[in-house]
Order: sequence, then structure tokens, then C-alpha cells
Amino acid sequence: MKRYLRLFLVNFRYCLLRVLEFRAEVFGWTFSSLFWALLSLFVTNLIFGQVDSIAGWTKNEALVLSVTGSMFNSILWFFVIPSVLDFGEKIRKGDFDFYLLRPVNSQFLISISRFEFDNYLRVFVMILLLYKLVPQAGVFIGPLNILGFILLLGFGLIIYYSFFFMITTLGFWLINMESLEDLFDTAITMGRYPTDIFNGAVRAFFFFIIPMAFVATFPVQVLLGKAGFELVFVGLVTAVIFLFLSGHFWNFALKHYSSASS
Amino acid sequence: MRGLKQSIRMEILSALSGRADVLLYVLSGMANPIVMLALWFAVSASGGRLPLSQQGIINYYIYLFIIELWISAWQSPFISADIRYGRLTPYLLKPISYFIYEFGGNLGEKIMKSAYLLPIVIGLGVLLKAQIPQLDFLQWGIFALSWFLAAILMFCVSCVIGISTFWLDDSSSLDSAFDLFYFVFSGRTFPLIALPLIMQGIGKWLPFRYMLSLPLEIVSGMLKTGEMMTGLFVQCLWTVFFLTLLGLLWRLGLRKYSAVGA
Repeated sequence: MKRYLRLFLVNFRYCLLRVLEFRAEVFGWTFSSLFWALLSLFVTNLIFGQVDSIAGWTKNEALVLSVTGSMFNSILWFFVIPSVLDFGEKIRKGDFDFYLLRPVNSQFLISISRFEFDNYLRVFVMILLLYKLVPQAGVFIGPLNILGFILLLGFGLIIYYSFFFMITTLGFWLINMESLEDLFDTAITMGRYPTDIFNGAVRAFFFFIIPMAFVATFPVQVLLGKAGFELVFVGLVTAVIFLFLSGHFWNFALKHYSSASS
Repeated sequence: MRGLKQSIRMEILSALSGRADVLLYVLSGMANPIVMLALWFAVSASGGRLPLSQQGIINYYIYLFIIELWISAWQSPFISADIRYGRLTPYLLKPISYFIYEFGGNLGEKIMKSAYLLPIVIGLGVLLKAQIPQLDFLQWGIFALSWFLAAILMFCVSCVIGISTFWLDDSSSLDSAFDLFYFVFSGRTFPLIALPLIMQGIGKWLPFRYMLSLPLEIVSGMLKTGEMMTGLFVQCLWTVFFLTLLGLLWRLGLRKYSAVGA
């Protein structure tokens, strides 16, 4: 266990040092990512126009959703997506055989291979915005709500990681997977809206194929008291299932792996 | 001309060899309009004021789907990579312009996407009861010209951003800035009349409206013939501007490129 933690920290430090080599770019990206986050707030404002609530969500609640969605997006892009995208590339080029030769779990190694610091500021700004917006929602927020929110976000991250990892693992068979980034982006951005806007059949499709509700809807529902704490256990179970599936699918894929060169 | 046909063919073959990839890309592209439609329906169901009538919104997004198929141009990351990794040289030695390759690739991609997406969009249109546009003969002509110019403009702009790599080393920050403005001012996510009046006024002078929204506004019947003509005129100006800029920057950039000894 300690070994894995150390590997994680070493990789983190390495990526941080690499990023600091190009300080001007960090500057550019900081502002760019902030603007994108503010843009999504602008769009939410625009859509609400003069109406008080949409599908049972008030404007303020929808803004909280948007901010949570941005936060989720930022964390995923920080820790999860770069490594998964790299992994997709490496399958195609046959570069990743070396990961299999190391004495550590290969799925873990691939999943921590790269971190992107572009969105670091956005995460903090989002937390600050939440701090400001949530009290305006006019509901009582207890420590249990906050805990539920954080836990569900965490489970959502695990679920999305497993989901993306499984799709990328399909690259063993389908090889050419350059559009993954688009798919991931779509899967996350769709979660920024309350899933209540979709009617039953569409919602069921999206929930089972792409677990969108975990991006923002579930965590915010628990935070604002729209749903009970039981939702956290739903999240826990789903996260465990997804993680388990991704590991198994990975092992299955390895057995059928035909490398580019060997 | 033969070079153009060949590069179109190459792009189609490449897309056919990566069928799953194209499918992923196509599915991701579909999600945004579907989510926006669901969102607007939810607004209307909650008694909110829509920027267009309910039927108007349906028409808008269905037309958007179809029109965008033949406008989108995503050249800049590829051109940027070609410049950065010195891969331009083989293209410069050929007797055809580099942009013939790029344009052919773009056309090929559009053909493939249409093959995949048109049946789905038309099915969706029938399902949602979208209407066939009511335009007179002259207006159809203006629309066709506007659609064509929008495609050319979009292609030029994405190439210009790509060749900024000659000076900026990486076009991704320009790309990001462009994406931001495009998101707000091009009508891709929401109709421009949903914007506050001041922003609409600014938007009429920026090039983004002329990359997508103008043909869309024409075919949705949102403009009078006089307004269409004014819009078309501004669109011509912007297209000529970017074509000239592209030629100029390309010549300047090549001089710099060969000076590095590539």
C-alpha cells in the first residue's frame, strides 16, 4: 500500500516539476480555465432568464450544480483523464508493454502516469463560489450534508475513472481511439445539468450507459437536502461495482493482448 | 484538382478503417444539441420564456445539426503538430499546396460524418416534427451562399490558428480562446437572440456569427431579406479577411520555418 502511495507522489512531483518548466503556459492556462468555468455560469444564468425554476431546480440551485460540475470536470482533468488518454495512445503505438513488465499493478501504473495542472486554480475558485452560493439556497446545511457531498463526489470520480478506463481498454480491440477526448468531455458536460430535464426513457438510457447523475446531480441533491444520505450508499455500491468491473475487464483484455511488436 | 480528390479519398479510407473512432466522435457530437433541446423543453415546461417558440427551437437545433455537418473544421491541432514536429517538409516538397491536403481531409471528414449522422438527424427531425424551412427562391440562394462562405471562413480561421504555431510554439491557448468566443457568439449552443442585446450587437461585428449562426438564422426564418443581405455582406468581408490573413501568415511562417533549417 505504501509503495503505491509513494509511486503516486513521485509521479505527482515529476509532473509538477515539468509543468513549472513552462511557467508562461501555466499562466495562460490558469486564466483560460477560469473563463470556461465562468462561462458555464453565464450559460446557466442565460437559460434561466426570467423563470424561477426549471424541472424542480431554482436558479441558485442550478448555479450550484454548474459549479459542482466544473469542479468535477477540473478534478477529473487533473488526475484521471490525461493518464487514460495517454494509455489509449500507447496501446495504439504499442508503447505500453513496459508497464506490464513492472512489479506493480499495471492498471494503477497507467492510471497515474500523467497529471495536468492546468485546472488547479479552477478547483479552488469553484470551492470559493460554492461557499458563497450554497447559503443563498436557503436550506440548512449540516456537516452530514457536506460529508455526503464530498463522499458522493469522490465516488463519482471513481465511477467516471472506471468508466473511462473501461472504454479506453476497448482500444485493445478497436485500436484507433482518437475521439475519446470528445466522448469524455461530452460525458462530463452532460452531467452539469440536472438529470431531471430528461424524461424517463432518455434518463434511464443515460443513467445506465453514462453515469451522469454522479457528476453533479447526486452530490448537490445530498448537499442541499433534496435527497437523503442513503444516496451515498448507492454511490458507494456503484463505485465498488465499477471499479471491480474495470479491474476485471483489464485482466481480460491483457489475456487477449497482441502487442504491436512482439 | 486531382490532388484534392485524392486527399478526400485518403481521409474517407482512413475514417473507414477507424469506424469505432468515427462512431464515438459522432455520438459525442450528438449529445450537445440533445441536451440543449431537453433543457429548453424543461424551461418551457416550467413556464419560462423561450428565445424562440417551441417549434422554433426544435427547428433551430435540427437545422443546426445538419448545417454544422458541412461547416465544422478542426484543422488547427493537426497543423500545429505538423509544424512543431517538423512534419511540414514533405508537404512543402510536393507540387500541391499543403492546404489542398488539409482541405481534402476536411471535405472527406464531412462526407463521412454526413453518411453517419444525416440518417440519425433526419430521423430525429421526423420524430420531433421539425418543419421544412419556408423560404423563397432568392432566400434559398442567399442561404446556400451563406452556408458555403461559413464553411470557408471556418476552415480559414482554424488554419490561421494552426499556423500561429510558427510563432507561438503551441496553438492550444489560442484554440482555447477561440473556443470560448465561438461557444458564446456562434449560435452553436444557444440561439444568438437568447443573448442580452448588448452582446448581440457586439456579436454582429465579430466573425463567429458568420461561421455558423448566419446561415442558421437565414434558414430558420429569423431574418428579413434585407437583413440577410447585410449579414451576407459582412460575412464576405470576414471571409476575404481571413483568406488574405491565411495567405500572408503562411508565407511569413514558411520563411521562418526554412530559416530554422528544417
